[in-house]
Amino acid sequence: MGGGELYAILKNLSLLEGLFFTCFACLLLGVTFTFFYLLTVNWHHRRKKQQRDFIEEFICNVILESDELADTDISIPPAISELLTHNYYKEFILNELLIAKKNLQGSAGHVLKSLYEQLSLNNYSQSKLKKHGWHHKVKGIQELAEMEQVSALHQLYPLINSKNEALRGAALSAIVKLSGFEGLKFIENLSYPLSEWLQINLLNDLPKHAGNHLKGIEKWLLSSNTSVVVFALKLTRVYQLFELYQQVSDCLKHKEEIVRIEAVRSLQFIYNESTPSSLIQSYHNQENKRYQLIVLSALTEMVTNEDIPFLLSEFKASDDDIKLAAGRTLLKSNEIDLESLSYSNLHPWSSIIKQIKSEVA
Amino acid sequence: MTILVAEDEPIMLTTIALRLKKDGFNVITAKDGKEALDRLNEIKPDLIITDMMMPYISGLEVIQQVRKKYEEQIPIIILSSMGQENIVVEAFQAGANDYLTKPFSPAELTIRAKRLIKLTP
Repeated sequence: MGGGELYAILKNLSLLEGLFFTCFACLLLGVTFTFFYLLTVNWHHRRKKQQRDFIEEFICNVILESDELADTDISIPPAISELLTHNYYKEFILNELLIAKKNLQGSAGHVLKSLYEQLSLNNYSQSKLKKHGWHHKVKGIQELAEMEQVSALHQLYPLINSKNEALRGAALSAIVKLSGFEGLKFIENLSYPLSEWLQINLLNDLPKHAGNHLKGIEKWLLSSNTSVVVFALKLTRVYQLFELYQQVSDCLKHKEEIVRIEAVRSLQFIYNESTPSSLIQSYHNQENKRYQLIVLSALTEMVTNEDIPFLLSEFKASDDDIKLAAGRTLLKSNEIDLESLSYSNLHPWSSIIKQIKSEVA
Repeated sequence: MTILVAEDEPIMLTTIALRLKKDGFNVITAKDGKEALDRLNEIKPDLIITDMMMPYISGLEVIQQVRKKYEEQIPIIILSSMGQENIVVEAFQAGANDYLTKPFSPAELTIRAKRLIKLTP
C-alpha cells in the first residue's frame, strides 16, 4: 500500500474511526516499547548475574587454593581486570571480599587480604576517605580496617576528632582494630565523649589478652573527659588490672556519678580485703539510691563477717528496694539465716525473704 | 556421604560447598532455613552444616525440626558469629553436635565434618 492510498483511507475515516485508529496505534506502540524494554532489562539482569557468578566463583577458587597459594601467586583473569573498570562490579567484588574476610580466617583470610591489595581495592577504599559524604568515608574506613590495611593508619588519625560522630567512631574503631592496644593512645587527645556503643565496639575489637601491652590507663583514669575515665575503668575490669586497684578505688570519690558507679563495678573484679570497707564508706557518703543499690549488689562477691552488721542495718532501712538488695547480699553471703531474725515474720521482711529465697531456688 | 549446607551469604555457601566437594562429599545447598527444611523433605543427609542467623527460618529452628523429624541422629555443625555464646548454648540444647565461630578456617570445618560423620554410628 502506497502513502497516497493510506492517506486516502485516513481521509475517508469518520472522527470515531480515526480516534479508534489512533488509540490502537498508541497501544501497539506502547506494548512494543514495553516488550523491548523488558527484554533489555532482562538481558542486563541476566548478564549481571552471570558476571556476579563469575566473580563469586573466582573468589571461591582463590579461597579454596589458599593453602597452596603464596601471596604473589594469585593470577587475576583478564575478565576480572575488565570488570574492575566498572564501578558496579568493583563495588560488588569489594563487598564479596569483605563478606568472605569477615567469615574466614587462617590462610583463607590471608589470601583474601592479598587479593584485595592485588586488585588495588585498597586504593579504591582510600579514595572514599576523600569523598564529600561522611557515609562514603565511613564505608572506606570500615573496608580498610576489615582488610587489615595498617599502612592507612596515618589517614585515620586526623579523623578521630571529627565533628561527625559516626566518622569519629568508625576511625577510632578502625585504629584499634589495626593496631590493638597501641591504638588506644588516641584517647588521651580525645576532645569528644566516647559513646557507650563505641566503648562496646572498642572492647570487642581489642585483643582478648593484654599481656604487657596495655599502658597508660592510670593517666586515662585521671582524664578530664568523663567517658575516657569510664572506658578506662571498663578496661581495668575486662583485663583484671589488679595493679591499678588504688587508682580505681580513688574513682569512688569522683565528682561524676557514672564514674563512681563504673568504679564499683570494676572493683568487683579486682577487689581485695579492704574493698568492702571502702565501698561501705562510699555508700554512707552518698545519698544516691541508684549508687547505693549497686554497692549492695557488688558486696555480694566480697562480703565478710565484718560487713554483716552494715547489711543488717540496711535490711531495716526505710526504703524497700534497699531492704531487698541488702537481703539478697545477706542471703548470698551464707553468713546469716534470714529467717532466724526476730522481725522475719513481720511485713515487709517476710515477703522480701520469700522473694529472695525464690530467686535463689 | 551427603552434606546439607545452609548459609545465607552466597559467597560463603559456595565456598563451603566447593571445599566439601573437593574433599569428596556430595553437597546439597540451601540459601536459608526454609530451603534447608524443603531439602530435608527430599533427602536425608549424613551431616548438616547450618548458619544460625538466616532469614525466614533460623538455624535453631532447623535443628529443632531435624531432631523432631529423625529419630536417629543426623550430626549437626552450627556456624555462629562472635558474641553469640547464648545462641550456641541454645543450639546445643536443641541438639547440635558441634560449632564453629566465624571467622573460621574452611580446613577446620572439613576436619570437623569428617570427624562427626566418622563418630556417627
